[in-house]
Amino acid sequence: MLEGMDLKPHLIDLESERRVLSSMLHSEEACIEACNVLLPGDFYSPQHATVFELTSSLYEREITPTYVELIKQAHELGMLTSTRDIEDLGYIAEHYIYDGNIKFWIQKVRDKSRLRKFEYFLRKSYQILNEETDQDVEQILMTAEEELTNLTALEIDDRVDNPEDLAKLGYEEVERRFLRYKDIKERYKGVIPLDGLPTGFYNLNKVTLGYKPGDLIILGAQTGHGKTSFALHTANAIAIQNKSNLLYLNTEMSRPQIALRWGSILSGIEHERVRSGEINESELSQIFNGYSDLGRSGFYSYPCPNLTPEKTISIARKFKAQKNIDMMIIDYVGRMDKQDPRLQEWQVLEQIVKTQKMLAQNLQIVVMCLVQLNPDGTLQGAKRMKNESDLMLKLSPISKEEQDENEELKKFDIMPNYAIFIDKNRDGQSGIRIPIYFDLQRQILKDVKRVSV
Amino acid sequence: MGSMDSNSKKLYDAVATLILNLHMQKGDLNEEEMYCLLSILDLTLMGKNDRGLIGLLREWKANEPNPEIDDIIKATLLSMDFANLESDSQQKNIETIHDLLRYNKELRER
Repeated sequence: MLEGMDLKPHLIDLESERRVLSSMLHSEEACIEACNVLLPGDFYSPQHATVFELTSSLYEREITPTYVELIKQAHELGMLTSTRDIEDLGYIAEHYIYDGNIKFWIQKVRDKSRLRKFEYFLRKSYQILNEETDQDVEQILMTAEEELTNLTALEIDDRVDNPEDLAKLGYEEVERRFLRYKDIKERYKGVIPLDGLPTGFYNLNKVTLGYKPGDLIILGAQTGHGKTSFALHTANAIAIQNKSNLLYLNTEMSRPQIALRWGSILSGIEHERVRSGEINESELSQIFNGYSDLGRSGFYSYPCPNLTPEKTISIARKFKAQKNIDMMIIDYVGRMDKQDPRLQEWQVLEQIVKTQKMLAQNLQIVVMCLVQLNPDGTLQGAKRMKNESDLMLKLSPISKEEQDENEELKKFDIMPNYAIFIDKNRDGQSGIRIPIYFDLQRQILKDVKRVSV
Repeated sequence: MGSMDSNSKKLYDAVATLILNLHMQKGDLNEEEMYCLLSILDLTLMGKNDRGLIGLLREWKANEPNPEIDDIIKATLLSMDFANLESDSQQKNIETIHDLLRYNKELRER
């Protein structure tokens, strides 16, 4: 686009470009940050754009992008072949910088890129002004304004929808729903297929139509009342049954603890017996089969006791780039490290939840945050959390008294002992309580089926 | 990635550029030799698990040259897949080098 232009020196910053590329060759953090923020077109030098593309592609294929790997990759593709290219590459590799500065250099590269785009916009507008004699003033100004607005938008994903775009989008959405409705009637005989990832519960699937990309889901439960079981039940439905890729961040449990949990979930054998090894040979083979399923699934676990909101961003970006994850579960946000000790608990939670919502939208993944409910079933900072979330669920036990007195509960195949309450649902009905059965010994959550009216 | 000190890093960058230039500018190394040396450089300085290969190469260089055995070791190295050193076939290649060095030692001691 800018080729052949006589650009002013202050619109070009080759030093920052080299520093970004150099740090990508030395730090994973730098790779994550640069791949997420920059595009090849942000580099002025075509060689730098090529090095950036090669480095990003190595990183996305999980090959550590060292100087040597970069040379090999470039050589194989017949790129960077002249003496000048090699000298440039050597110069880039020698400019090691400390990771902490990477954001600064990325910003500089991005700023110069935006300035060049602005310069191009001015040149183009000037050219239009000079060349077109019979001008539609309104049209020229409107096009220019739109282009300029898109330039000032801060994020890569940001764009302004003009009326035609919005109308087209709206019609396509309605058309898609119309065709789906027709399909449901004809092919699925009235059973609505999911729009997103399966929740693992029949009734929750019906109400939500699945967890959708960009959604932030908050699941609240009191201590010891099934947060992790809910998370692993969700992971089972999504990563093992549905074979989608899911990243599970746990702030409390160790690797062996998480691995052991799966043993009982996937084999249906009591957790305590799996933990103590008090099983027979046929149960051992049952457990082996369960773990084989886990081995073939899309479940990625990242135990991280000192998790911070910033860390979740870089981990999620890394797994999105390398494993193309569809969902991330954070178990649980209350254990995340505070960045600023002066902040109140609810302020920290609010910050975390906001960050996660942005992350879900930017990466187009589902993010589920597990939070702790107060002993009275309320949630600290609940209103703010509710505002940010697309779906807010509360998991709580059904009391013995209610089990005895509530006739409705007696109409299921198994007496429900827990319930999922849909506190907020941006895309559908809320205020609904879904009874389920929580098998505490096996740490398994189950649907309950209504057997009488 | 990451933990190299600045001297090691300078050495790494300089040697990588040198290997590249020996192939591209001077033509002293062919493409296969260049890839092989770059991979060994990565193994040596990037802290990757070399499965004992680097130790063997050190031993090789410390020994008196034996043109015949040196040629076989070189051919073995050139045929190796350095990205999959843990595979059975690559492990066999490492064992071959180990056996050749042992044989060379026996020859010298006779």
